Amino acid sequence: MKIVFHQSQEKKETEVHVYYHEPLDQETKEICKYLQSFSQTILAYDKQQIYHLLLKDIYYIESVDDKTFLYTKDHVYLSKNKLYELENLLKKTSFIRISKNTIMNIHYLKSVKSLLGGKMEATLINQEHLIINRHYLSAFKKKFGL
Amino acid sequence: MKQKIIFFLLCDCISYTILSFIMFILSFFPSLVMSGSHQVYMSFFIVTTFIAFLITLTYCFEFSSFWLECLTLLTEIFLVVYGIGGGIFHWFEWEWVYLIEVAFICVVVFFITYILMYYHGQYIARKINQRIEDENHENY
Repeated sequence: MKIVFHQSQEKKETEVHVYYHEPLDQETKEICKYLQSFSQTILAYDKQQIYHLLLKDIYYIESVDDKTFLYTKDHVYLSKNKLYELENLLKKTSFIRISKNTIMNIHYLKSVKSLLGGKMEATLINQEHLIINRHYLSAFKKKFGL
Repeated sequence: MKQKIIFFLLCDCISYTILSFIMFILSFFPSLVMSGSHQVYMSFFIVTTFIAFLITLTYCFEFSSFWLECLTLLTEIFLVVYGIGGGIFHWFEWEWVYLIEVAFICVVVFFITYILMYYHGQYIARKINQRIEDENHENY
């Protein structure tokens, strides 16, 4: 695969063009899905208003009492999707399931800390702390190539 | 499933190693333990395999509290050691002094295993933090 970067003063925003050969190979499919995730949106609700929330703006998703909440930098939205539906939707993106009720965006991960009982504590860049359950630790480590 | 089998085998090996090591230390005090023979070591293996199986099973559940999980695991270990080790293999007499000694060994083995797991977790956490740092350097 050839990767070319062009710097241009004319462009107001970054553009990504993918030139590919049919049939599309697995690697290119994954790259496309990953790139699309940056402009992909999720329907979010707040005070009876509907928003198209960009995936890249979501820090983490949490399910509490059968309700699914989407956390951005400084706001919390409600989603009508179940956590497992979002988990399927967000496969092969920067999101990863870290416990029975949480999906985290690893783009906003600042650091991790080991806890007793085989769990880990993730600190996000906004200083929020999330628990990584040991059932999901193996997939989490894989995401970092470990 | 594959991961659960790997975890079970790892658990079995760790608990067998630690138990064997403790028995080796205790063998310097002949009054405390019975002399070693291949049957005795086979009984260690069976008991640690049962313990590893129960730990693997318990780890399938999510506990709300760390201490509740510890209590559940310790109860399982006591039941296996007293029931199979004491009841079937006659590792010790059913006297208070031996029961307390066995309970002490179980607790020590349990917490040594937990501490080792904690340090392994710290090693993994360090590696992940290094990866995050490297990615941040690449991005800026």
